[in-house]
Parts: sequence; structure tokens; C-alpha cells
Amino acid sequence: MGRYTLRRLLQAIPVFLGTTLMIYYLVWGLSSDPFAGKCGQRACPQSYVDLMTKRLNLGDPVIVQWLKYLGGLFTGDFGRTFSGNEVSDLIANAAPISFRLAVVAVVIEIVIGITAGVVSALRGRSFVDSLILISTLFLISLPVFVTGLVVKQVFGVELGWIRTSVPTDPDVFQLFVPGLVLGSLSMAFVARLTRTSMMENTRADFVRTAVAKGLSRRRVVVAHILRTSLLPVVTFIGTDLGSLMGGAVVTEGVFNIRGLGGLVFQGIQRQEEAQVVGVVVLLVIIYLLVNLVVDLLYAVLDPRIRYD
Amino acid sequence: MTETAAAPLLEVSDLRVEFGNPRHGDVASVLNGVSYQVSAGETLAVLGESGSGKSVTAQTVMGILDTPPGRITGGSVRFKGEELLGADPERRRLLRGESMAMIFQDALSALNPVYTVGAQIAEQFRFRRGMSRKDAMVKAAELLDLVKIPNAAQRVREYPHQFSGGMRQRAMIAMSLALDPELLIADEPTTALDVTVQAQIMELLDELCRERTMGMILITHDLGVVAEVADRIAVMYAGRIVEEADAASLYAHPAHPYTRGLMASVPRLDGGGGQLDPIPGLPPSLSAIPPGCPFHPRCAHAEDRCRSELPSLRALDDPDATGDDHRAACHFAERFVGASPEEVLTP
Repeated sequence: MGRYTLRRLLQAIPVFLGTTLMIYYLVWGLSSDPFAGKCGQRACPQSYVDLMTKRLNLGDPVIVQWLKYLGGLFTGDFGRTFSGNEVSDLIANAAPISFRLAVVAVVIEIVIGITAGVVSALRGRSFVDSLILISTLFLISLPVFVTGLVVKQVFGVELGWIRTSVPTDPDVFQLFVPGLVLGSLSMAFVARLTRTSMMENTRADFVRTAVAKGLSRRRVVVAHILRTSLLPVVTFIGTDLGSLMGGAVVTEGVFNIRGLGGLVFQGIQRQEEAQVVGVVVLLVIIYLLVNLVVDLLYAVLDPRIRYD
Repeated sequence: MTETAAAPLLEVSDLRVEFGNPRHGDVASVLNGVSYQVSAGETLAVLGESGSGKSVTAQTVMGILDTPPGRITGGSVRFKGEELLGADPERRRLLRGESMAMIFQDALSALNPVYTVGAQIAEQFRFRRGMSRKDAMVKAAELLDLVKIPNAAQRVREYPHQFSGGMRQRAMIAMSLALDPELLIADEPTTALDVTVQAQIMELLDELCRERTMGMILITHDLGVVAEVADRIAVMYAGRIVEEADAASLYAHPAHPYTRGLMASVPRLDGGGGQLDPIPGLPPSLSAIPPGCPFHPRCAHAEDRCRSELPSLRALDDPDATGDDHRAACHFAERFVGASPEEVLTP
């Protein structure tokens, strides 16, 4: 397992370099004039242009700029915005909120999604099963912004059950409704995946063996059917955790949450290139790490997979 | 071969099972009145082609038949006199493992891939005997040792995929013996194995049955496998028993054309004949079993009576058979029972 982990970490290096280069080029290399519109209606003063050009290495070719940026990253320097904020400070403020939101969403996915899937699979062809299938299909068909806006309008504005926006530094309880909205799509997928996987395994030979051994129904379902059925579900949830961290732009927008998604969105709007690059680079790192953890976890869950 | 005890351990009589939904009109009659008995310490081999109902009978006995699609429409299964069909499901569960155990054809798929072999054996000690995990693992290792798995103490911590085919089947056998059952049902235990390994597994099963005076139902389609270990043989065709006898008389005087056909389709090493003689045609569809004798479309000796009248399983006068042990369901069984299996009878 140690060697595999090392190999996977080494594989992550070219991926990291390639993705950051693409992001850097997209943001800095494609804009003809980074100072366009930066100083209101007038052109920026030459002294400011000179200062920023020097600070951001804008005089160098993009590839050299990128290398210098990477050098900074290794010392923890994510660069600075035009307005003078350290990008690392912005991230430090926003990341914990995004992380909390992602955790809330994942917990909801796991608890509600897996429970619904198990119930649906065990009840095969019943009212409950149909209800779960239809409601999950409903959630899958809706884009998150629709779900988010409807929830906000109905429960926040009309019924007044929830607050329509969350505080600046929300705790996990205040993030429950946004987490539910963010996790709703994946929750529906988890429910369906669990259901399908359980139904397949229910007919498996080893389940018949477990029954023939005289184990209780409960033991057969939990230890044999569910345990084995969770393999694909765990993979899905693992990779989803990565996308929940960065993919919450819409949900964060709807509920006014100041997380990473909001930071990217704001950066694009205000043409703060350094802010966009910094956050996206962080998300790349998170994706790579989460994927590695999922693969390692998979080997723990399924002994047939050994990476040595 | 062991002495058969007087009281039967298991008594299956007139068992009938259907598959499919009668409302859709696609009903397959899988078992059409199967009866057999197994005594303590006795090995009954159930022979037949795929789809003849061997496994369904066994699953019904174990209480692990999938219902639906299966439906038990009649008959009785008695274990030591206790009626099992319609019994409380919890009672049936407690009998499984404890009184009757089953081993399956493909041990790789019959073992859970995500648990160690030891854990799967230990499970029964933990959840049926209330043992601690640690004690249960010790017992599991003892069982692996009993079925002659070398290095049992280490291998108990390995996963099924780390075992070879033969070792996996041994582990499966160890698992079935955990709660010391009185009846073992082996559903094609050697079909997925190499010939050399097959012999070892059969030998092991035979030995275990003798040591423990355990009754065994050995389900197989392989005549070679049964010869060595079976006390009695029941031949099944289209959900019925068509012939039943002690192993020696069945081999010496097969009385049903189907049994004779099965024997003729097995390669012989003693050079006799040289050419294989497979049974022509295919087993009938169970949703459209032919009227009369279900075997008549494939039988070279079929006459008008066979096409209209279903032959019952009746005792034959076989001088070699013990008592009226030799029974066959053929109108002309007397004609065949006197002839040796190699003799070609002209209709």
C-alpha cells in the first residue's frame, strides 16, 4: 500500500502541473490587457501599471509567469489581488465555510441517500419504493439553482421557516438547508445507486450461502448485502466530496454564503485574476487528494483490490 | 458404504414446486411430486441433467428457495418427523446450519468476497453460539484444519480470492460443518473443479459423513462422482424421480431408459465400445412437459402407451437389490432391469 500511495502521489505531479498551467494561461494569457477597466473610466496611471507589472511578473512570457507563480505556491504564497488582498487570506476565510457546507451536504447524502436506497431495495415493488424512485428522479431532473431558489422562496420567504441568507461565519446548523440543496442531486444518485447495488447483491450466491448458514435476516442484510453493496456508493461519495467543495458556486450564490465558489465567481466578475487562479489551484489540489483517499479507501473496503 | 439406520432423517414426499406467475400464464412445473428419503449416515446421490429439479428440491428442503418466483404447491418435507413446509420461518432458520447445511457448486461466488474465510466460518459461532470473535476464529481455524487445509491458522485470515478452487471448496465444507449438522446437502460440489481435485473433495466428504454419521444428499450430473460415495441413487427427469435404487443395483441393472442413456453418455476408460452414445434431443421445457412419460420424445423404446399414460414409480424385482429397493418409473422397466447397461435393446 505504501508503494502504491507513493506512486499515486508521483502521478499527481504532472496532473497538477498541467491543470495549473491551463488555468494560468486561461486567466492571464488570454486577456489582452489586464488593466482594462481596472481604474474606472480612465486609463490606469503609469506608475500603478509599472508597479503591478513588476509585482505580477506581467512583463515575462506566460510560461515564465506560471513558473514564478508555482515557486510562490511552494512557499504558501498564492499571490495578491489588484485590490491588495492576499489571496491566501481570502481562501483562509472562505475555505472553512465551503468545507463545512460540503460536509453537511455529504452527511445528508450518506444518511438520507443510503437509508432511502436500503429501504427502497428491501421493500421491492412497493409504494415506498415507487415514492423513492419518483422523488429521486425529480431531484435529478432539477438543476440545483431551481431547487435552491424554490426552497429559499417557499421556506424562507413565504413560510418563513428558514432564514433566506446565512450569517457571515455560519455553523453547520445554519448551513443545513443550503447543504440539503447542494447535496440533493447527489443524494438522489446515492439512493438509486444503493438501491441498484443492493438489489443486485440480494440475488448473489454469497447471500444465499449466508441464508443457508442460518444467520438472521438482519445479519444477512447488514453484513452481507449492505456491506458489499456500499463499494460503488463509497466511490461515488468520495469523488463527490471534491466537487461539492468547489462546485457550490450556485448554492453559495443563492444563500449568500461566502465560500470558495463565491470567491471564484467574485474574482471573475471583478477581473481579479490572482483570486481566480488561487482558488482553482486549491480546488485542483483538493480533487487530487480526495481521489487518492478514495482509491486507498476502496482497497480497504474491497480486499480483492490490492495495489502492491 | 454404511449401514442405513431405520428412521429416516429426511423424508421428502410428493413435493411440488412451480415457477412463474399463473396470472401471466407462464408457469413452469419444476417439481412434479418428488419423494425421497435420507437416513442418518446415508449418502443419497441425486442425478440428472440441468433443469431436472435436483437443486430446487434441495433448496426447498433447506428453505432457501426464492419465493417468488418459486411456489411450493404441495407435498411435505419432514426432518426427523417434523414437518418443515409451512413451519415458522424462525424455526426453519434455526434448523439451517444446525441440523442441515448446504454447500454450493461455485465456492468463489458462494463466499463473500469482502470477508476473510475465517470470518465467514466464525460468523456462525458468533451469531448462533454467542462466541466472542476471537474464540470463533480459533474454532474456524480448527475447522479449516479438519478439512485438511494446510497452515490453517494463517489461512483463516485470508480472503476467498486468495484460495485455490479446491481449497475454497474445502473452506465451504468447513463452513457447512461449523454447527455440526446431521444432514449435508452438497449441490454439485465438484463441478467447478479439476478432475484430480474432484476426487479429493469427494473423498473428504465421504470421510466426514462416515465419521459424523451425517446424512448427505449429493446432487450431481456426473455419474463418475457418485459411484464411489453414494449408498443410494435417485435419478431425476423433468421434476420427477424416474429411478431409485442402491448404488450397486442401479449401476448393474439400470431399469429406466433415461438412466441407461446417462450411463452410455459417459466416457469409459476400460475400452468398452469406444464410442459415446449421447441421449438424443433436449430435456422438455418445464412449462410444456409432454403428456404421458415425459421422456418419451427422447426414448428409443417409446410405444403408444408411453405417449398417453404417465408411468408411476414402482418397485421392481431386481435380484441384486436389497428388498424392494429398486424402483423405476417406466412402463417397460422389467424389460430393462434384467439387461446389463451395455446391452443394446432393440425396441
